[in-house]
Amino acid sequence: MYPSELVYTKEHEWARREADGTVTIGITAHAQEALGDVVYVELPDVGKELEQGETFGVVESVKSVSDLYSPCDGVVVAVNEALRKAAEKVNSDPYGAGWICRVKPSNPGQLDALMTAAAYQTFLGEG
Amino acid sequence: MDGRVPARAGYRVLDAEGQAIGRVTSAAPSPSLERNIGLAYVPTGHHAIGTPLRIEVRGRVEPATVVKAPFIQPGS
Repeated sequence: MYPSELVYTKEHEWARREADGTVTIGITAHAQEALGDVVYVELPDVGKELEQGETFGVVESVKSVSDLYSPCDGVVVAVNEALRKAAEKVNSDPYGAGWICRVKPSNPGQLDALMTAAAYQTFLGEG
Repeated sequence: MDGRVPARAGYRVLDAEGQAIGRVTSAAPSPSLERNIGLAYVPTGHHAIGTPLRIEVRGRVEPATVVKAPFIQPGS
């Protein structure tokens, strides 16, 4: 449910360090389940500069609308264009095809302070 | 809503010229209709079926159209 190679935020985003130094960002299985069927994802523009904790997008579900918060400082280098036509991938594959954007971090050390999978599960009360 | 972005309660309703004229009272994506639907207060004169409106969504303006209620006909 919570892959151990990812780090997690209290706002229920996950971040994965890629081999090329970028960081892929998405929302957790818990987040997509709590939101319900995702119908629309407002993606950031490529080139947008993010600060840790800053809102960079929005996930709209049948039930509600929820902001996305950046797990680190950096610049958006890619967004998951497939979500424009198939936002439901966030539900069906939150750690894979449902990724949201990729960032070139300006301060990668910030990721070390985020939660491990075990810490996130404790945070959720599922530990 | 004509587009893919759902409106939510409290969003401002604008007329076709961009003047603020009312507020969304409730709105959501409809899984049955696969459309974004909602209810809003607008002044008389903007209420006729087919009237084009705009709804302000996070600083952007999304098109919407006045339609006949109920959204789903009973028994359909």
